[in-house]
Amino acid sequence: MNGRVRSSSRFAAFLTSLAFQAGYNYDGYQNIGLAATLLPALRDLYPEPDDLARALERHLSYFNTNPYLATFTAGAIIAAEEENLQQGGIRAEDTWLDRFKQASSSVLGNQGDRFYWAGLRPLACLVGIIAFLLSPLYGILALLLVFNVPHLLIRAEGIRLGYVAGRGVVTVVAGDLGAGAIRWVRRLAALALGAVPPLLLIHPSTPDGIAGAALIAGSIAIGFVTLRRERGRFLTLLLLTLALTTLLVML
Amino acid sequence: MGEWLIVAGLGAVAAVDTAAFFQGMFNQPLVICTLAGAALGLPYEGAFFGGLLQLLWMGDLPVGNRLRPDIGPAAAGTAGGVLIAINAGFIDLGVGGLMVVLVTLPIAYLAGYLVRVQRDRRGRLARRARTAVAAHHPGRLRWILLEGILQSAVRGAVVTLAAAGLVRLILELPWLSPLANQVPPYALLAGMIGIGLGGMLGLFRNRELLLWIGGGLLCGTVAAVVLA
Repeated sequence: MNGRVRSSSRFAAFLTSLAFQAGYNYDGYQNIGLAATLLPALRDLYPEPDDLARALERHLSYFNTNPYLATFTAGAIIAAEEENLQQGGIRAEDTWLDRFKQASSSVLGNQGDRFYWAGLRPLACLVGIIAFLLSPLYGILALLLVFNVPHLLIRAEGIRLGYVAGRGVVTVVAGDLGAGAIRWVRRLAALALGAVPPLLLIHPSTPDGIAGAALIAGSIAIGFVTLRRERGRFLTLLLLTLALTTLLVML
Repeated sequence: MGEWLIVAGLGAVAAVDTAAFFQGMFNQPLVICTLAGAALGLPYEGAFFGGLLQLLWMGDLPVGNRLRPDIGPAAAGTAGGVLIAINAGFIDLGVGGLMVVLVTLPIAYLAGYLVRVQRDRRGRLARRARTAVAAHHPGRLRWILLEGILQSAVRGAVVTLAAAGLVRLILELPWLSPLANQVPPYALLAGMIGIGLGGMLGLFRNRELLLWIGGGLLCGTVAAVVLA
C-alpha cells in the first residue's frame, strides 16, 4: 500500500462498527469493538505484521462512548494513523491519540445520548405508536424505519466525516450541526407526543360512552401522578389543555 | 415445544440487539411482542401486550451508571408465555395483560443485572484480544466479537425462557382463576398511556418543547376530527 486507506476498507470498518458493543467489557469497555472496527483500515496502512500489531495495541486501551457515534472517532483515528504514517511513522502521537480518544468519547457520548436516547428513540416510539393505530405491522415498520434510516446514515457518515475532518470532527459534532440535529429531533418528538392522545381517542377499539371517558380520565390522572414531582405551571396548563381537547373530541 | 423455541429465538434477537449487534430497536416491546404474537398466531394479543409495555417504558432513558432494565428478552418471555397460555385456553386478554406488565418489570431488572455480570466476565475476552494481537492474529478480533454476540444471544434465550416459565408457573396457581374476565384490558391500557405520556412529558419539560407538544396536540386533534 502507499500509505492510503482504501474506500472499501472504510466500508468494512462501517460494517464492523455494527458490532461495536459485542465485546463490551469492564476492563477496556468498547476497546475490542474499536480495534476490530479499525482493523481493515490499519491493514491497508501497516502491511508488516509487527507494525499492525503495534497499531492495534494502541487501540486496545480503554474506550467508551455512545456506540452510534463511535464511527466519528474511528474515522478520525484512521485519518490520524494515515497522517502519522505519511510523516514517517508514529512518534509522540501515541499520547495525542489517547487524549483525542478521551476527549472525543466524552463529547460524542454526551451528544449521542441527547440525540439518540432523548430524541430519536422517543420519536421513533411515538411515530410507531401513531402508525400502530392503523395496523400493528405499520407500527413496527414505522418505528424501525424512523430509527434506523438516520442511525445507519449517521454511522456511515461518521466514518467519512471523521476521515475527512480528522481531529476537527469533535468540533463538528459538538458544534452547530450536532446541536441543530438534537434540537430538531427533540422538537419532532415533542410534536409527535402531542399528537398521540387525540389519535388514540378516535381509534375504533377505544370504548364509547362512560367507559371511554373513564379511560381518558384515568390516563390523565395517572399521567398527572407520574409528573407529580415535575409539576409546574406549563405542565398543569398542558394537562388541562389535554383534558379539554379530549372532551372536545369526545363530543 | 416449537412455540417455546420461537419465544426463545425472539428473546435471543432482542438481547443481541440491545447490546451486541446493530442496536436498531428490534428489542423494543412493540416490535418483539408483536412479532411473538404473529409467530404464535395471536397478532392482536401480541400487539396489545407490546403496546402496553412500550407505553410503560417510553419515558425511560438508558443513560448513566444505574442498573438498566433489559426490556427486550423480558418482554419476549412474558408476552410469549402469556400468548402460549391464551392459545391453550386458560387465560384471557385482561389477566394476560396484567401478568405481562407485572412479571416483565422484575424480570427486566434481573436481565439488566445479568448484562452487567456478563460484561464483568468479558474481561477474559479483552485479555484474549490483546494476546491475539500480540501473536499477530488480528483476524481473531472479529471472532471475539462474534463470541460476544453469541453470549448475548444465549443470555437472551435463557432469560426469555425463564420469564415464560415463570408466567406458566404463576398461571398454575389457583388464586388466578377468580380473576378470569375481571381485568378490563382498557383499564390497563389507560394506566400505561398515563405512565407513558407522563414519562415522556418529563423528557420534554422545557418551555419551547412544551409549545411543540401543544402544536402536536393541535395537529392530532385536527387529524382526529377529520378522521372521525
